Amino acid sequence: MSKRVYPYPFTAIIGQEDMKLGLILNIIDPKIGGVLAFGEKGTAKSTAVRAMAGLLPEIGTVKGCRYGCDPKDQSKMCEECKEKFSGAGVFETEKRSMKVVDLPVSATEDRVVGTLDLEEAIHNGKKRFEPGILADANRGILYVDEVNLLDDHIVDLLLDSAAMGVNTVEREGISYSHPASFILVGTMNPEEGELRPQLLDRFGLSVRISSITDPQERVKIIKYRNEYDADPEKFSEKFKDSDAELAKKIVSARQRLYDVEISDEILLSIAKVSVALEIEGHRSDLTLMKAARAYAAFNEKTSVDIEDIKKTASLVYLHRMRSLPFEQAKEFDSSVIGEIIGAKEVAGE
Amino acid sequence: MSERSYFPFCEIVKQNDIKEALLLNLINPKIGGVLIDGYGGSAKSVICESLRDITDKKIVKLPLNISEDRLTGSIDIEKTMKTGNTHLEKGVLSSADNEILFIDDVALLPDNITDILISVLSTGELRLERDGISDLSECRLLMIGTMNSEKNPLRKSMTDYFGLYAKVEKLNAPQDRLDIMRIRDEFDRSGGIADDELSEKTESLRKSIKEAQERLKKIEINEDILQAIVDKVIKSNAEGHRADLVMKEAVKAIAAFHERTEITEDDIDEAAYFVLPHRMRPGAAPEEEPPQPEEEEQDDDQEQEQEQDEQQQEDNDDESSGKDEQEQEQEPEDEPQDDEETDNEPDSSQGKFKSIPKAFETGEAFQVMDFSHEKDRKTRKGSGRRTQTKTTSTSGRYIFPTMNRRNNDLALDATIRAAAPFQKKREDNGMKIVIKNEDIREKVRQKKISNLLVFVVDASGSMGAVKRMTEAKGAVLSLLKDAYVKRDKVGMVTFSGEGAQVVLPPTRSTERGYRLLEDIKTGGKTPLNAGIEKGLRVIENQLRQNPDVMPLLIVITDGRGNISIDSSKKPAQELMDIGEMVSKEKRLETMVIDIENNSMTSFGIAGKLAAAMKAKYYRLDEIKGSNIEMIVRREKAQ
Repeated sequence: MSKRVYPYPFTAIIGQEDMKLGLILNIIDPKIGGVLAFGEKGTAKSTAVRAMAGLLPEIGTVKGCRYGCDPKDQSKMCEECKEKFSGAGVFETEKRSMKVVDLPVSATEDRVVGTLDLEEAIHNGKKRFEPGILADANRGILYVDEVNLLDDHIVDLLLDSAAMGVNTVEREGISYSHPASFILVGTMNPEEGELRPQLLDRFGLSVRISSITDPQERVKIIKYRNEYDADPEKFSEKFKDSDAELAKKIVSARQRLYDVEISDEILLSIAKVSVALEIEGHRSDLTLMKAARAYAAFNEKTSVDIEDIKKTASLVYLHRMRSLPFEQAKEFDSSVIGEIIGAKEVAGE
Repeated sequence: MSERSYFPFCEIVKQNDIKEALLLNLINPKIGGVLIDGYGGSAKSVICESLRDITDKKIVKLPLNISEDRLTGSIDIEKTMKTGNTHLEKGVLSSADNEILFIDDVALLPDNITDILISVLSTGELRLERDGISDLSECRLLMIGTMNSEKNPLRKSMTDYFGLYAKVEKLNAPQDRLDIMRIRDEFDRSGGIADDELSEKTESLRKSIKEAQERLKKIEINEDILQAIVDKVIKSNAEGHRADLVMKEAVKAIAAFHERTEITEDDIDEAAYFVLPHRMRPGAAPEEEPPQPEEEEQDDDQEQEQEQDEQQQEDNDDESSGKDEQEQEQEPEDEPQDDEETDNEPDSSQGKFKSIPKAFETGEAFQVMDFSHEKDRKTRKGSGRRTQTKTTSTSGRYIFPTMNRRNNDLALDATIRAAAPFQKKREDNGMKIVIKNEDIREKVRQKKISNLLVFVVDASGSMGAVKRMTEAKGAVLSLLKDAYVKRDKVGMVTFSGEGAQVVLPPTRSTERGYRLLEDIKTGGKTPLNAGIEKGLRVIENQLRQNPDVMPLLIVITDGRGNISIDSSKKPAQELMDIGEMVSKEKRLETMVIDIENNSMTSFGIAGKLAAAMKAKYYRLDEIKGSNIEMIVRREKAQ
């Protein structure tokens, strides 16, 4: 245990710009709703997610809370914290990093949603809720590798809490609910089966990851990897500054996020794009608005412009292009955005 | 206002149908709820949660992870151990009695849960016989559910228990969408849209609901109106009589909603708009239907139309649907095929299934009969909707307790029974019942899991005759769609010319199967033997990787195999040998679908093959869902 684990530094990942951007935008605005990475094996999908841990900002939590409640947001507090708060009016708080919590494909439902604490029940006759992975992931990142291989039943459970940010448990004598809002990050290889449409739609952004074809880049990847494997500590040290700088940039974007303005004109172009692409529902509108705003904040702008939309639109629409089972998927073509928005400008003149 | 964790009802943009349907239910709870249908991300759940703003009823949420004992109530572990007497702990259904039961994504509920709901809804009472507890209580549910019928249709027997139906409105006007973005963002940022103005709106809405509730009491329904309602329902060709009763309540609520105590004809039309769509059996001329867009109700209608089309002559729809319902209550495994999404309306199928005219076109999809791997005694992991199996997971129906410790899935009733004889001797720990580790019993559960369907498709030259391939592809497509709903894994082997290929290694992506299907070309000889052998190998591989798989080998052929794998053997003899080999693999079940033309003479080679493999044998038209009686008749005759 004494040996510290050094994750691969985020800034040492070569290429995969979309993936990195998707993750960064989500850290800036967790309400974006996560990222799904499509791609072959060995394309640094998991590495990027694990590396992200090094960039995550600190959050304030209620001390001792099993769900890491935010002391400043009463609307999303667990019952225990609400009770404490109404009694004392203040909390002891502590700071910790946002967490990346793994949801293994083989996880059982009782571990995911939580269950009855058996020991406590039979020995002391007490019903106590033993929190599961969703509790752990509250206010953090829930990472599912090979999300398309997840058992259907578990997918349903995820849908439930992803929708409301609350995990409601009604099982085995336990009736309990607690906050569970998390950034859902998944990876999948589409060849191994598709993801259920309901879950697909819950991912805010998606990126397609392919192998890097540039030979020089590939050599660099091998070199970096060798270096890292040989001495993770030394390698991490080398990228410490660039990671720290990026982390700082993210923190500052988080702080400025809601100062970034979005004009009606920008929102109307978002609506037009969604309508033109025949996207169902409003999730894409909201996500694009948030993603573009996070991107603008990241680039230290004070308002969102068309470029921010163009840059983030492909991440929003890639996985929303197909709507019905057995329907041929339409491909998302990012030039469409320019056309749609451009057409509007011409019309406006 | 900062404590608000749900969106304010009055700030929801548009979606007036849904809002009205909900308000009508608040005015008159006898209507029995709303089924909200539409695509994701359209604020379906948000609206339901926001009802708290305008009603004092509790919104009891039924989560998808609910277990049976929490649904119905069960033995109270704390009290029972403290007092030594059995105590009932009420379940979600009891807390929803006379309140509002909200089920998000109702079509995703496990079948065993839906079965219980249906039985409670149909009797209005909750009968509890479990874990050593016997109890009967009244349970009147006002149920609000959401679904997306295009992606996951709800069991038809369940839809009928929702009083009203409301479809999500597509909002394409940029201004509406802008409003939604603004208001939602404001809500997300501040955790509320706190304002006096808002509470004013809410208060006035609350007041109008109360007034309407009062007005409702004064509304009388006379004979004429009853007659008009009944006429309307009959004309719509809705199923059963529930529509009449719901119409009666809805009409009253609508009049009250419009601040009247007299019922007008418009009220009846308006009620029909909400009451009939999900109950309509097609066939009725909808010319005279209310001006509102009935066409929107695609799935239910199409399913029904389908049924109707297929059994035009023998009009026993009533009987069979009634039967479905009963069967469901008793035996969850007998799920009717109503669930399937089947589009056979030409116009919609053109959009959804573009047939590329190379090779042979894919025939139209139809509803397939119920089929599944047989139930056995093995315990498995996994989930799905095809075959009932014992499971190691902690979801599913509790069938009996076991001493084997596997997953801490405590069976309290059995544990207490096991501990009971030793209570006198045990040291007192403050509990009335002292439980030791050796007393612990766990639950053995049963639930449905998916199957692995491996299609072995004949693509030989003979399949080109008389549209056979088109029909065969139509059959495979139908089975694939069924597999999608039941969440099966699928694989596909085709054989033609000199050999057989695995065109689709087993995958959950039934859609890939569909795309590949389009491209299958016919031609050449018929290496049926190689095809079956390959299919068998695919399945054996899967079984090696995961012994829990329930594989079904589905051979689709006209049976005219004319090439053997081993050229020293005669094709026909080798086929029988392979058939026997298949029959020896006990974990595997087989189905032969005979594409040979539908005459009585076709009980040829395919039939013999089926006999050798101990497979179920069907002619193509027999796998259609509505032809079940025919199969039953034939199997009896055999």
